[in-house]
Amino acid sequence: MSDRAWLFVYLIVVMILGLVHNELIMLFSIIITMLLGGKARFKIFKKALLVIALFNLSISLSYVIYSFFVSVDISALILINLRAFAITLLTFTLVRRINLHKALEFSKVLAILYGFTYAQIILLKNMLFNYYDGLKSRGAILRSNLRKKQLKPLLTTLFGTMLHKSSEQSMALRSRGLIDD
Amino acid sequence: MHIPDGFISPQTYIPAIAISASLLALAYKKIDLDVEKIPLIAGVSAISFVMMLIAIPFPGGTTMHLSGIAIISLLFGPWIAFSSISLVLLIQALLFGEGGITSYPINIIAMAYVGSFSSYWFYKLFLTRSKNIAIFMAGWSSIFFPSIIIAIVLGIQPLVASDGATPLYFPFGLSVTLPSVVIPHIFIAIVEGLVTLSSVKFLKTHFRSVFSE
Amino acid sequence: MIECKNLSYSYQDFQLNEIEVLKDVSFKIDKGEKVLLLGINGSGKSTLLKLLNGLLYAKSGEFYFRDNLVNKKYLKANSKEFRKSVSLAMQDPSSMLFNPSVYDEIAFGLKHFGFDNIDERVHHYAKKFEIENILKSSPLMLSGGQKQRVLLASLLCVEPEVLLLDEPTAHLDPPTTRWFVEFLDSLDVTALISTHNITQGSELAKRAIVLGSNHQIIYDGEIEAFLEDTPFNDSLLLSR
Repeated sequence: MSDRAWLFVYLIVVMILGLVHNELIMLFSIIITMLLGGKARFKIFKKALLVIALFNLSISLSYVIYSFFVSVDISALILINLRAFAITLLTFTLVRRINLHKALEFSKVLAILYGFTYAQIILLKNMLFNYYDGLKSRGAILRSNLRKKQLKPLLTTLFGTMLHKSSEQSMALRSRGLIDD
Repeated sequence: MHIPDGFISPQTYIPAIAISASLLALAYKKIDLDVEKIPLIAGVSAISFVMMLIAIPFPGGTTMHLSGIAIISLLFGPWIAFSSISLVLLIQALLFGEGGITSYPINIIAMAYVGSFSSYWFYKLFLTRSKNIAIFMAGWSSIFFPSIIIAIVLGIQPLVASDGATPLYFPFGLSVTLPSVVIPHIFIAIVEGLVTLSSVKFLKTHFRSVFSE
Repeated sequence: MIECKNLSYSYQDFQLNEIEVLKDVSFKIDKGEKVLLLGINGSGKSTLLKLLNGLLYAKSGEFYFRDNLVNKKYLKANSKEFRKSVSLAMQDPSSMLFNPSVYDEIAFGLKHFGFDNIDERVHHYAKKFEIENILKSSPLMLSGGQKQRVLLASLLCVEPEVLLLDEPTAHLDPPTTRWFVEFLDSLDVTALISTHNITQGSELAKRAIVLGSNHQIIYDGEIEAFLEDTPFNDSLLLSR
């Protein structure tokens, strides 16, 4: 099945999971998704769990505390959490299994935009984390948060790099004949 | 502020898909997006993404993450900001699980659209009074108004999608979401406003050839 | 094939300061010649290559390709032909890769410039560059060396007459660098290769054009003679 077809199936399944209110169906979806995850299934499972943990735990705990004061059905939390996990797991499994770039091929502009954005994100993200590491290494910060005077050099580097890279990408599109001279 | 998956009902996200798709189509037209503009949008999207990773100290010993939406909107214009941040929200949802795919249209409307345009309009509104206040208010509004939208969208879930008294998506109503989401964001917005003020002024000076008015 | 006459280039930096990058650069490269472009960081090597690829326009001076003056008018009229004939591989291959898979990346140029038997040609070049096993992969996910191979395959499959290479071995490990040097040697193409790796230079080409810190050409001739005559510490740091 093509990447585009997988993307379409994914969107349909996400819609179904949103419309159905049955814990067993959510569990079934999670099992099928894990099977589709292949060798990386446990890694994806762990990632999905970590990603939803903070928000879901805080909502769930708050609701449990809320139930001491207001009469509510706490079992609602089971469906809510299962649904959140099922959709998140499905999303990460899809992204792992398909070439998202290829799935966007139906639009030349979107496909190139995705590719260039991804490349720039990797470049700038590495720059940011290297900056944190540099400051920590020199004893200027203890954890990865910045003060105002440390923010300015960072923004200068990030914006300068981004503008230069965008200019290079623009030239590359001309060089390879995608943009007319 | 991103809403994760599973907490928004189809009764909410399906109309939101229609609204956000229309806004994106309008943005496509306004920017006149073609192959030539791709590198700029890619760059702005990337820098928005990375700015959201930057952690700054918040009073009380905690940290908060910069949004950067107002910075982008003031430097590049609200339509480019809206398009770029929509792309960033999609990448965040698909690759990093920040924000869900079902809540994506809501996140676009709240953060990308309302965030970009409220900062632009508040800047214009306060410009006659003082440039510094205008930039600060742009930053402040880019956090405050989206938080209201998010609080409302979450808070109406028990009303629009419940099985009797049992909530099927987000379990808390407006009486909980409005104070618990909006009030903290009033203060987060102040920090964002201050960071926006110093960053925009600094970047406009440092990159005069790009951002000159 | 390529002739430059008194090319000069400057640009405005972000703070609106005028920055000189190239000054009165003149040289000729004949068909089939492989020439090294040497210089320290900031001497103008990348800018010169971009000028020769028609991506930038000189502030003064002239650039001729096949005895045609290359300016905006020429490029507008001959864009496709020029882009097919003169290929540039930028220092960062990521900037130039934008297709969803390696296969698509190689096929792009073939389709764009009207080649037939595209599938056959893609596989031929993939085999040549030892990237057949990653044809289905996204270029975004590859290592620096793999990206470099993909880019070279994508550019060379359209059979350009001139190849402009900006630091082509920057992302390559020693075995891949060896492969690249041997591969370039076997190619029948006019090439201008920029590098600041002097020791590698003599393996890539016989002639060197050296840009000094004054942004002018300080040497144009046999690379061996340049390396013998110039003390290492002074070699590219002082203007003449």
